[in-house]
Amino acid sequence: MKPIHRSYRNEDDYWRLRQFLRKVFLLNNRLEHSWHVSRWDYFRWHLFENCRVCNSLEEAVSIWETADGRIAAVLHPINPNEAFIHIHPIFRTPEFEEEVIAHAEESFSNIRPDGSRRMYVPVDENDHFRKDILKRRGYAGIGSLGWEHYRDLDAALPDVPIPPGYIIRSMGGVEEHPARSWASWLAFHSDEPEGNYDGDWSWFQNVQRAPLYRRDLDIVAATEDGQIAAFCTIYYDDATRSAVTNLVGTAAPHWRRGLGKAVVFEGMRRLQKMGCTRAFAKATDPVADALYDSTMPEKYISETWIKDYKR
Amino acid sequence: MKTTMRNYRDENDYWRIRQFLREVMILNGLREFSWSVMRLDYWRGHLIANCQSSDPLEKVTCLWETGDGQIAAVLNPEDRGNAFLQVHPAFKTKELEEEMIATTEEHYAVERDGKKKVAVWTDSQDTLRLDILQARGYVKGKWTESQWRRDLDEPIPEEPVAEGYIIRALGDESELPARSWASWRGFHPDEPDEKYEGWEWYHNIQSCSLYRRDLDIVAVTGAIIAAFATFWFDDVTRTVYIEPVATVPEHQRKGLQKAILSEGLRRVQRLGAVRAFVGGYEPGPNALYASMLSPECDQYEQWVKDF
Repeated sequence: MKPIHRSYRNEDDYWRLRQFLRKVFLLNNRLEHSWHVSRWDYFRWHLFENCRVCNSLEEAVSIWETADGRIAAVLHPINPNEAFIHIHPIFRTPEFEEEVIAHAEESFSNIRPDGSRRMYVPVDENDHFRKDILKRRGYAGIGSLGWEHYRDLDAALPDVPIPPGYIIRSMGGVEEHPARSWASWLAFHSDEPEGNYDGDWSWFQNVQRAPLYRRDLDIVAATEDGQIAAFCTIYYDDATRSAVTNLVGTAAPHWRRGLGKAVVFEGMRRLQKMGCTRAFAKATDPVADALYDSTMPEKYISETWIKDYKR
Repeated sequence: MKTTMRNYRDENDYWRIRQFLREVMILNGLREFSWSVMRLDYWRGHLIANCQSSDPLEKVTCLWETGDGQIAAVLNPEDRGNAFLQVHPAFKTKELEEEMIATTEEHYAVERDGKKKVAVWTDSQDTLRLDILQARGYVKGKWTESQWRRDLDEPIPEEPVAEGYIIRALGDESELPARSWASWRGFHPDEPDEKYEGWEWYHNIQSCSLYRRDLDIVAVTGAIIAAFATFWFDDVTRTVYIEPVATVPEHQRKGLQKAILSEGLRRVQRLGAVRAFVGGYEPGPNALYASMLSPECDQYEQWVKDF
């Protein structure tokens, strides 16, 4: 049955895509060959609502469906030129996957000032099926790498020392959002002048609107005077018994004290109690990769393949 | 398709039953003809772990499965002597229900006053089950659960909060003793305080898979928790189950529960919930739920047999 393309329509699609991703995740033996449902939540509630990575979901998200309404694949960008593809394994044929990639090449807003276009497509290191398609379509270069880490939570977790002067606990109430937002700024914008921080912490309320958000899985390392030094926001999906650490960071003044490791392990201990059996994290730089090597040692590489072309 | 009964085996069964209940809830049009997944979690995480209301799941739960391993039905108690049938609508036949009820009589009956007694719960409109129960000698028992529901497709109005109280999420671990004490006072108002057994049981509540502290709503005055309602949001079925709900006696008749329910419903609406459920067994709570959810409810009846 040939799936037909259509655009994302409405809120109902948001929830249908969540169920689709769960199903695909289970069919893929709980590996993230397509996104974990929590990444879709994060895409909508943080990357779209806060970071405005696209104008609207209706414009950015494409769905392929069978005539009887089963979702076969989903395509969307994060940056205008990076194609994220989520595909149901039983629909995975070279023709169909190529159709999805071709659609990205044609429809994404990736035209540069000189009229040329560049497309990035993520592909797992062992996904030769997609690599063959990409080669055929002229993808030549390999861009930045990501490291997909995970850990099965079927054994006791080690105790991790907490440096003196810090406590590890759940995120507080709304009165703590400014401190949490500032910690995020210090963690992810350490090379920018502090004056660039706009002081708007309202974005954190969107992070908390994701259906899988639980404050007791939003772990922080706090100083005695109430600063947030490190954080690990985990979304736990009890339907697949798996979780993703979507936001992990340490404020620059508190680096190299083992706080990242402490908050990740505390999160995993809590997940274990709630019945979670596998936790994931994605690293996109060597520092994060090292942190996850020490906390979630299983990993594989996610490559990003590049194609330069003209319309 | 023929189904075969077997006993609950292990942790994997627990998670499979959860998926089964979610599927059944959706197939039943978001009605509680079988348990919601949250009720299963609450049974295990609170009623068994804290209250020992029944033996552990592995001793008291039966599954009916098809040859290819699909769950067709689950039979379990909640407390001793009361049986609940969770049945996939595609497999709901007279034969299966007969078999489940016969299993109930064989395994779940309790002895009281020299007689064996057992109760089976059923929706008041489930004529198939009611016919079987009547044919086997059951009569309507004392208890009926009114299953109130509210669709969350309209704005939820704010309710006024009595002066001196605030409505908010439960605090961190330091507030668990106050929360536990409120529970004791709310549910055991006539018992002597020395029977109170401590607060550590609340950790079991918070270990349930669907527990979210931001949906554990309390009314607070000073350091005292005066009332509470815990909302369990299942993002698969997009439904919410509210349990437990109580107000400490000296803080009753101040509208605290209305304010809590209104706050909780707004919070779950923001998370994407489309329907909320709460069960009431007595006139006072039922009046509250009728006013805060809707006058619409299903009646889930206890039918009993002495033999």
